[in-house]
Amino acid sequence: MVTLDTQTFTVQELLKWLEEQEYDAIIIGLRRSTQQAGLINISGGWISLAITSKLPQSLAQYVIYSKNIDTTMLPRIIQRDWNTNIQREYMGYIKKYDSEAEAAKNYLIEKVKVISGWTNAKIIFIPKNKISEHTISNIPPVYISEVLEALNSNAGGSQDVSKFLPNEEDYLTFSPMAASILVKHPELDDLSWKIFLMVKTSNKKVKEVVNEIYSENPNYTPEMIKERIVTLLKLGVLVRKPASEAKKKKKSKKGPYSKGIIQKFISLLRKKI
Amino acid sequence: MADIKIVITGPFNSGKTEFIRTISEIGVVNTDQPITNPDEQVKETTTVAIDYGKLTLDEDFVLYLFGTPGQARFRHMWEILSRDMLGYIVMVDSTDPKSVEKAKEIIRIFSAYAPVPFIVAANKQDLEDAMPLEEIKEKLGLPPNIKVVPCKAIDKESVREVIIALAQTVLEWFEEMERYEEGEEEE
Repeated sequence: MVTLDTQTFTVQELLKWLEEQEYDAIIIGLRRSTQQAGLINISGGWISLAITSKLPQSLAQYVIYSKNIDTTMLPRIIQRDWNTNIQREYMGYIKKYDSEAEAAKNYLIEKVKVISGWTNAKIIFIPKNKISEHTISNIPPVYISEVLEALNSNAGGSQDVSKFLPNEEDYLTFSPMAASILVKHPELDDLSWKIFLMVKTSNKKVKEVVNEIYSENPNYTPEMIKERIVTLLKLGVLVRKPASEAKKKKKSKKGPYSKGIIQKFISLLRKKI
Repeated sequence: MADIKIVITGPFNSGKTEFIRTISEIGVVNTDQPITNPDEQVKETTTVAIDYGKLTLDEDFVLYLFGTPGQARFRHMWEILSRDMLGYIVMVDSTDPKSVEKAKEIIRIFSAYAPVPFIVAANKQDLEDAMPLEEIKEKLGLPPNIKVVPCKAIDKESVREVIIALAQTVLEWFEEMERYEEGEEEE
């Protein structure tokens, strides 16, 4: 296990520890230099952000490791341009809290939550000087498969895996960042995309997803498809939607359209053209 | 009063602007500019912002079509365009394997933003060297429920059929959702 304030550890170890603790993001105040800015690493669905040097020191000292943040979100997590609106927003935090350090902490946490789309994100905040700058070392270009392998070999075997096994009657849904994870990881092949696109554009049970993909692509066996669904669940690309939980949810939103509107639209199109 | 918004996306030179121009009752508001990338100089201009077309179906129904630039550098606009759309159509040039390859990438990125169904319109299906629909679907790596429909972007009836295919796909999606919600309520 990683002890954040004592030993040197690799980013991979850090991410594994965060997964074990079920964190969604970590904000670490460890930077002395503010020269480095932007995306510095992508690893197993996690992304590491260093904050631009244009910002006040109270914000610029932090590095954020967060799950599933897309590179396109980088300019939004902390604006590269420290413009008047953002400055005003940050001044509001400084007025609200007792110290600038406390304001920075809350500002960053709120930003990470908003950008990642997780209002309930579990975020760990490690203030400046709690760990030394070189504690985190050896930043590797880790791929999801390696992280999964590490997770599997350290997670107590089948018992841990079982929580990802869906019931065939379960429905599946997807995380907001699902496509971004897949885009960043070309080693997740066409089968992963077929499953994701089907889940995204339909409401099917696990067994329906397996059967329909298998019927059109017999080169993927039902076992392979099920196994891939489990992998996508582990990665957080897909999320199980068991009947018992789905019951509690409100009816899904369909935007400004209804069946009646679409039927009339089709009929009018046929008449008009 | 119902406004129907549909987004047309797809790779460079797949026929998005032509598709909108064919069905729009107004001159398409387009923002084509001379091409600066030498690799893409197979046509004189390309869309740099959005194409916009409109079709009034009756006093209560107006169809709005938005065409997005196909080039990857305009991805930042897709998120904004995808708000409140009925669905989206990904156009590919059936005669160009590179177009299909690029469409695959666009589908993957666009699917991150779009909360609604889509179909693929295989343009230029009337040409001799057009790839069959099944081959395009396979190359795009699509699941069985996503339709690839034939298209001739310069033909009004063909464009109508593509839009109807998208609308029917959305209807099927709604029906599936209802089936799911009703099923859950019965339990």
